[in-house]
Amino acid sequence: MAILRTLGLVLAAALALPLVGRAQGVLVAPHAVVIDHRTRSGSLSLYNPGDQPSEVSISTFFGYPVTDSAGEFDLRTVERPEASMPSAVGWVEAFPKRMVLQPKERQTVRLLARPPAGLRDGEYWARLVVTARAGSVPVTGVDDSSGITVGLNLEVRTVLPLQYRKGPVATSVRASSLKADVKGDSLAVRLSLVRQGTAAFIGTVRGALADSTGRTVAAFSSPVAVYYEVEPRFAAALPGGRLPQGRYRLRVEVTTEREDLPPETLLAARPVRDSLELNLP
Amino acid sequence: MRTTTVLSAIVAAGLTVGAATVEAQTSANIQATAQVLSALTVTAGKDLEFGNVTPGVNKTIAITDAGAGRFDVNKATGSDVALSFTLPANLTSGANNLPIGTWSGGWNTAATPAGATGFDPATGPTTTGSTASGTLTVYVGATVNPGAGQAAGAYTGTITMSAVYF
Amino acid sequence: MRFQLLVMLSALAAVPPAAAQLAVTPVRDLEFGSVIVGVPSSVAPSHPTRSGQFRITAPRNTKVQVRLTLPGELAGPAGAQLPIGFASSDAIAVGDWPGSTPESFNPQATRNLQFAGGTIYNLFLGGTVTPAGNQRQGNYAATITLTITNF
Repeated sequence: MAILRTLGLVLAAALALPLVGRAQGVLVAPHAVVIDHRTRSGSLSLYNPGDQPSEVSISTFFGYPVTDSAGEFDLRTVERPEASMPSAVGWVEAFPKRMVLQPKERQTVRLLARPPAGLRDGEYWARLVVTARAGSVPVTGVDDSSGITVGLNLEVRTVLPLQYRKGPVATSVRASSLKADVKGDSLAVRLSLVRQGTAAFIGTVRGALADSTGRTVAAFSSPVAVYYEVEPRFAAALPGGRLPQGRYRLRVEVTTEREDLPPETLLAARPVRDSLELNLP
Repeated sequence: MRTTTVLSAIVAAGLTVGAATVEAQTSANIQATAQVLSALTVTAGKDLEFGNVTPGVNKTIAITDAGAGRFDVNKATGSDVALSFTLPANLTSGANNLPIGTWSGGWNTAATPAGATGFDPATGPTTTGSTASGTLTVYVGATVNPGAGQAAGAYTGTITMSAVYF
Repeated sequence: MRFQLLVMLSALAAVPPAAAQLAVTPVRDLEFGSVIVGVPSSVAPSHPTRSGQFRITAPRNTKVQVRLTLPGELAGPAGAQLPIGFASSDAIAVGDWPGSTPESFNPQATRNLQFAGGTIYNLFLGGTVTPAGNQRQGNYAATITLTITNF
């Protein structure tokens, strides 16, 4: 019993990075990569912002964003892409694939493409995964006399889109099934977006709700990535958490503008607009 | 003599002109250029610390507890990042397992769990939305469930957080 | 007398205005390349491809003063500004004649150069940009001017 009582004090399970304030991870730039077939190369900059070395590895897989029944985005992973899928996995490689980044060290990773002969014009996709780990971890909160140690490895992954473009590519989106409803203190909007053309549609959805006088009472703006088909959910906070009864008009616009991406990587397309009238009792 | 006078005047004029060009300036320009890249930074900022655990007694660390784990994400303003987790069901020490579960999570644009948007790390990804601030703090808690006869040992596992940029 | 006058006139004709003998040529921009938000990035003046470079041509034994007009920021998209700074060792001047040793100097101060052994001086410039954590992504640029004064 005495032994058990002693042992009982000493199980220390911890996510044990014991150095207070030590951060382990990696900074990845840019956060979206576009490679042109004419150069067949791109690059990533990696930077270790922490004060400990970071083991970094880079891999690829095929995946694309989808939405669930609630309109939340998720990444669908396809282990073995079908021949009809525009996968660049298998012929885009990172050099180096593994490295140890010292604190405050920066490393450029080259992305080289060796596409198959006869590749048709179009856009091909892959996801880059940059994994950073701290290595094995020492102990915190442990009674040394117990001889028990506990450690937990922390790993962070950054998953980025890679688009490989050969020849002329174009994109657009078809918007339909616009729906809106007041849910709690927000206006919930759903919109079906189906990609047209030969390249993923990368852009922004903006919505504005106006009252009968034309005054905007609520608005939202959200980045979107439409590879196949998505039906995302957007939310606009309502002033004071509620809307007075009356007639409102919701206008939605889908454009290829993105403030977080270099404009030269974006494919332009004509804005798509939709609207609906809301009558609130 | 007259020729000499004229020539002397010409020489004097030339010297005067020369004197005017003794201090001359010329300049040229180059450019300083840079291309700023937006970045995504994900760091594991703090352990999930259970401290001492007693066999047979479950112990929970909530995201608001001092022992909560923390990840830090820095993303470009206007971008949207989805967070997903790969979580162990057990911490292991040789052949011994220490069950861990009932995960809890919360993300915030401020570096505090107070007011954080809650999510379940064990289910599908949570989308942070296009926040005005590019800085996100993500908190993680869990419960360890040691058996009454839990063996002593070095228990380890790996928690992976993925930040997915669409 | 006539001979003396001829000599004087010839000498006058043979000496072109000082400004025509002095030239400064931009050779290469100061290129920081891709920089990451929140991460300062430096280019040393000795960098073989990224440092800025001017070439100054002057007659042998000429003494000139060089002055750099340096920006405090690079201008970027939508009015964004990227701070740039220059350390006291961010400029190097070196003559192209044998035995010329590189002279490191503060680019924020004037510098006197003497073309002791030849007619060409190369001036190299480095610097540091300091992007903020929320720096707007895009292309940034600013002008650096080298002015030389011939004494």
